[in-house]
Amino acid sequence: MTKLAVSFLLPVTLILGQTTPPPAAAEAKKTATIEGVVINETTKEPLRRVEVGLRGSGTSGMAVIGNNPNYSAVTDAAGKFRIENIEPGVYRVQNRKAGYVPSRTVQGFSPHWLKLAAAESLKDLRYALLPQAVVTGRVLDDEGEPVQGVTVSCMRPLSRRGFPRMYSGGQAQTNDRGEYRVVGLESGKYYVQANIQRMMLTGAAPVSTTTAGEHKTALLSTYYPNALDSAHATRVEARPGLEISSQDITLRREKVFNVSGTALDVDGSPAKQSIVTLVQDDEVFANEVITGSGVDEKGKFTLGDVRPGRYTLALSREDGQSHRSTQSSITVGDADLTRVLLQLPPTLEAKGMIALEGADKKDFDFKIWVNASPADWSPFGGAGCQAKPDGSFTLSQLTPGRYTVNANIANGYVQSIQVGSEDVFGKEVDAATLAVAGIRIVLRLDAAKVAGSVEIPEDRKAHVNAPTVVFVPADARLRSGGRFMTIELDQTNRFDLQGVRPGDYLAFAFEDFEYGAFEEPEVFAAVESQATKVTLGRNESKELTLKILPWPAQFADRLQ
Amino acid sequence: MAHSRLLRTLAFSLALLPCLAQAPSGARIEGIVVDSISGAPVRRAVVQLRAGNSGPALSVESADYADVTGPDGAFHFERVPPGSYSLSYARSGYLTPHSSTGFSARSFRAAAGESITGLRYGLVPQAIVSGRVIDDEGDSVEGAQVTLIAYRYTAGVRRLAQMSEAGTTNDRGEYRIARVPAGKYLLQASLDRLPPGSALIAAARTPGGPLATYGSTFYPGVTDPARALRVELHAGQELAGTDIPLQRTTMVRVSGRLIGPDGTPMSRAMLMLASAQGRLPTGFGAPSDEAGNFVLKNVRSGSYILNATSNDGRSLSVPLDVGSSDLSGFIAQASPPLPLRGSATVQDAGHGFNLAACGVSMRMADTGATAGTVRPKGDGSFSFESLPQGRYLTDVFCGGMGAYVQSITVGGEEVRGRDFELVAASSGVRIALRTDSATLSGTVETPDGAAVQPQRQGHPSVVLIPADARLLGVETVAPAAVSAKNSFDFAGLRPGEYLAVAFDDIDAAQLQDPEFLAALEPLGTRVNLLPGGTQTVTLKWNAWPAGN
Repeated sequence: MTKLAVSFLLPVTLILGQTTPPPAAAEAKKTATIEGVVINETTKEPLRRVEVGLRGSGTSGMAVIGNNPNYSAVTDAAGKFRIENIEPGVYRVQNRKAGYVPSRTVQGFSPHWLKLAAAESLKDLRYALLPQAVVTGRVLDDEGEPVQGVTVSCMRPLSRRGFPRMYSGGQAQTNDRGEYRVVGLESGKYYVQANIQRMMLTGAAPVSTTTAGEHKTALLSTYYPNALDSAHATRVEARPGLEISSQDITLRREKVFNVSGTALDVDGSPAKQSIVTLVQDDEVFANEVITGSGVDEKGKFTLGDVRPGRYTLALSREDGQSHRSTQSSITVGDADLTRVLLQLPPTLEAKGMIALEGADKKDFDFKIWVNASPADWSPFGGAGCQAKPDGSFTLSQLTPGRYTVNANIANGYVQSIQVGSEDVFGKEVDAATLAVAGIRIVLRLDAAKVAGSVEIPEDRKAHVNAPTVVFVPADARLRSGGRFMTIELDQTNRFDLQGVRPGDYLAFAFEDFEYGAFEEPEVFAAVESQATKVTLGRNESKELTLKILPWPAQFADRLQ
Repeated sequence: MAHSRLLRTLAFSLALLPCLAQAPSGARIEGIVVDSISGAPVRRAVVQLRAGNSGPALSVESADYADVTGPDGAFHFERVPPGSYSLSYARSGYLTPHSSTGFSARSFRAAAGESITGLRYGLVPQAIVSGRVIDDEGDSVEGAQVTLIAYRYTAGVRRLAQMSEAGTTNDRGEYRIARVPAGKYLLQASLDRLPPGSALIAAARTPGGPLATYGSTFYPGVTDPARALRVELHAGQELAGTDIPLQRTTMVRVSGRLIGPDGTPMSRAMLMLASAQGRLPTGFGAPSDEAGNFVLKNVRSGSYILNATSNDGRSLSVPLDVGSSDLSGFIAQASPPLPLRGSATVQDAGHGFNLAACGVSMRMADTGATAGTVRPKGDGSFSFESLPQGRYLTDVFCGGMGAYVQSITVGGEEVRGRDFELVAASSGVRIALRTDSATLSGTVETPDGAAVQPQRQGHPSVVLIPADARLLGVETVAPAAVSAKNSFDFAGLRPGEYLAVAFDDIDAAQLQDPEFLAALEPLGTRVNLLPGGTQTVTLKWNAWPAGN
């Protein structure tokens, strides 16, 4: 799960397997029909010319890859749509119209997942879109002249397990008058940054200059209205349908210095195929790369136009399946920083074996992907490998540090991960321990199943249409690594989970739900006591009816 | 005088700083950057020096020295180590013509202790065009690509070509294209890259009935480039309000078969439609199958040229008219190739003139592609074994032998500078050469009568244009470079009247544009070259007419 950073953004269960392609056109199968209306959520008026698309999927609640719908129609002047000749199957409804963004309101609207049976006809579907927010303004240099070709991004921090990450809500380039216009924004508070790095320099006003006898200065990436870091930036609050204009950014011109030095491999030779990146120590923009440079054949690197401040300097080398790196904290003062030495650390190798328990090994394919992910979710480091047919595997070139080990298996589950005498499944473990003690991964195939529905009170039935069901391991240490399983229900109000690791779970059903926020410990703590507890034994199938829960009121602002 | 702000990259500054310290007798270079149209100083222009003959710097970072002009447009460099340099200058809001790097360049040598002053460089202000793209229901169209298209001459063939970066419409349907050189353009809004969620795309997917959808549309709202309006942009002009309402048209299905010139199917060929007017690529295309069959699912009605090329190198190009209903069974077949014979003779004396040293080429009039080149035998006869049927232009080269083409006839009709139709019944080509050609030589001077200096005016060329308007853009004389001594020479010229013009820099494509050539009259000097005569002329130097 080296790439978990991506997968945990999606409301997907990781154990459900691959998305199956939409059903191919079959003959003599009775097709389904849907019809309904799309409205403007703000004005409640019908929306014309909305593209209503159906994107096929294998199972309700699964991520939909790609953008092109399998079926589509355009709403008429009354906001109405009708799609016929739909092959039975599970579909995700995507409503799109230029100038509008998806609505996150579920109450009073139809589910976005539809399970269509043969000859089924769904009428009176009701969807909404929200008018987009727009932020416009100009980017000016220190002499008040417009700057062309600057990328302006509207970004907002969203917290994931305590690690803030920046999400771009939209970006735009300045034109010859220095004007930008960022559209398609959802409501929220955004940092608006003019990024000078991606500026196209051709024929533009001077970016960096040296006045005779003085320090070199350079125009730097600047936050609205005139801030070098997020702490001094003014956030812009975007609201649906609102155009916030005149958000002019005046680029800062500051004294800048060079950071240079030598990058070495573990054996003291110049670090080949490596890059050096400078990351700003900014509270909000934690992992933002300020600048980067390659390493020459003598191991030398130079980063230009760096303003005074504290940074993390990282040397990383991508080499096939391994990614080695080292980091160093530096402080740039009122002078060039030279002779910085970075050296890649020695790497470790951990050998292991996969064992199958409670099933015949003869027909089992051990070509399972095993990986060690950095415990701090750092994008650097980590290793992965595929096990050999005999179950043996080797995680090579592990950078020293803390890791979580996992294996992906489609039809079974990981029973335990033995390192020495300890089971480290869901736990952090030191790379050195892995290397010394070795790894034994025990798999079992007798996974559990859980299916059911959500009980919606009579008086709420007209309002609640698409509950989200969440399964969380009861053992807190097993919750890391994206092991929250979420299922957005379709109009049949049923869920069906297979391949579940036996154990104790907490089950929830929400009408309003935000995956990232739910993972935050304080949000989870607020609802934990209301969970339905369920214990799943080996090969067990359970039927469950869940009560709908309100999203904790004190965290209402965490809903997007 | 501006404060000099020296700007340089780290790599070069490390290398050059010791040189600067040791060479107090370096060169001094100073000058001014002005607006070519108004003559006013241009402030904050970036002027760069790059050592060697490697051309202008690709960016500020790769320049050895850079200065920024002050409010008076002035720049200066001091203590520049002796050597060859390329000087370039640029400013946002101004064009940088004839340069792929975005900087106009001048190259020169700087000697130790030399003071090069009084340099004056002109920048042509950009033109800007802006407007909206809306659909037939009046809604803004987001994500349409608007491009400026102009007729350009390639290999003597006039065709439409994209002349600018695309301006993408925003959520309000607005586009804005900057950095446009002065000229006459067609504006095209294309929908090839519409963002997801565009109902325009969805319209194309609705099943049942003939498909009516939007397609590429030209200003002021027509789908046929022949009916499009040309907008004229002057240097520095901002033309707003050029709105393009998209037209919804019926898309039909076109199917048929591709058959090669030899009568066998063209299997696995790539088929593309170009507009009949201006040969603009349309984006309609499909591959043919093993049997040469093709299907174009959604084609807009209109007049096209169907071009197809198969992997084995066979190609065909036939006209295709698409009406408002499906077209099936269209057979696109290239006619079988034909032979062509001819002879060349030298009209005057011909004392020992070696016709076998000449070359005769047949150039296809519709594409500009050369279909074949042969050398005549000693008796002047020549033959092309197989040429695709079509219209041809005849090119004759007798380079360096002082001969010129007096006439080219096919079936008694004069075709010099004109195309003729090659059909099965075509009679031979007769080429009449003469050796009493004329020569023209001379010198170039600046408007104030001084000699040309490369660091000031670049490397001038002289252009010779036939005075006969019918030959404009058809019969071309290769431009002559002006030597270091400011002289130039043309030899082997056909006697007659010409216009001679000297320029700092030239754009070869424009030299094939009759409209452009006709407009050069006021800049040049008329010369009348007599048979066997030699003439000398002094020409005034001109800046290439980038603006008007």
